[in-house]
Amino acid sequence: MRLQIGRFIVRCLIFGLPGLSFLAFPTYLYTHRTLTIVAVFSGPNLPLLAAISLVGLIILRSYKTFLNRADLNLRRWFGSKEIGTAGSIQVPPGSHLRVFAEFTFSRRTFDLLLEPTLRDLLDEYLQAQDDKRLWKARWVRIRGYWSFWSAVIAQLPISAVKMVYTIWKATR
Amino acid sequence: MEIPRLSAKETLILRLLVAKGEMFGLELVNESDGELKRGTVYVTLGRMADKGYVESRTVPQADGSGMPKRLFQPTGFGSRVLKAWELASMSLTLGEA
Repeated sequence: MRLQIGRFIVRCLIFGLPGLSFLAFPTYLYTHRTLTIVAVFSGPNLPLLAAISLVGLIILRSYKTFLNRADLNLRRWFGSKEIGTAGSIQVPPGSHLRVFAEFTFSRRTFDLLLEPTLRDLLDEYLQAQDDKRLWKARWVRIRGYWSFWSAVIAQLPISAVKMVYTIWKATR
Repeated sequence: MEIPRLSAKETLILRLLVAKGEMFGLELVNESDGELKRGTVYVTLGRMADKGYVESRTVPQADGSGMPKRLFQPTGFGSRVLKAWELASMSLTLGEA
């Protein structure tokens, strides 16, 4: 029950604040509708309203993250024990790059060049995590991303030439 | 017939593979004392596979990542090219001396 109440309050805050701030701006325009457009945009309250709208926009933009974090904290405080003190679930490093590489490059390039690069990144990262060397893990992650993009840049001209040749051969 | 050529990195990779057998890309980087870089080792290995100097096979991993590891080994042709290349280099060096 406490969890449900907490969730309700969090949702009211998260959705209420941007809602109010978005309402404030049109309300201001409506109440000053007799003024010229120049006068409206030079009014003394305008910067404040714009700032409120901006805050609302930022909150709305990242509301999912807010909601997920708030939910996790609420579960920790009031919820079931199985959540315990575990942090949020993290995507392994290189997962998004793997999807990108698989989509962008040929199967051969992906299998022979890019997947092993990402595999090495994952291996080194997990090894550093196992050794409880968090800074090393962060460094490995950065170095792994650098290696991946180096491989992409080194491979790009070869892939481009191959693609042009394939198209030329097909249309000849 | 076109005479096969080996770059410095290709020679190093072939030397390591002939000396130590099958190796992963990361092992090659670690064994090379900084001469091979993580970002380009697979590009070089891919080029060598195109030329027929090396071949590779995947080793499935049980960590659930869905990403297999790739082991590289020299082909017979690659080993012969390395031997010929080293003989040629040696004879040129001896000739200079």
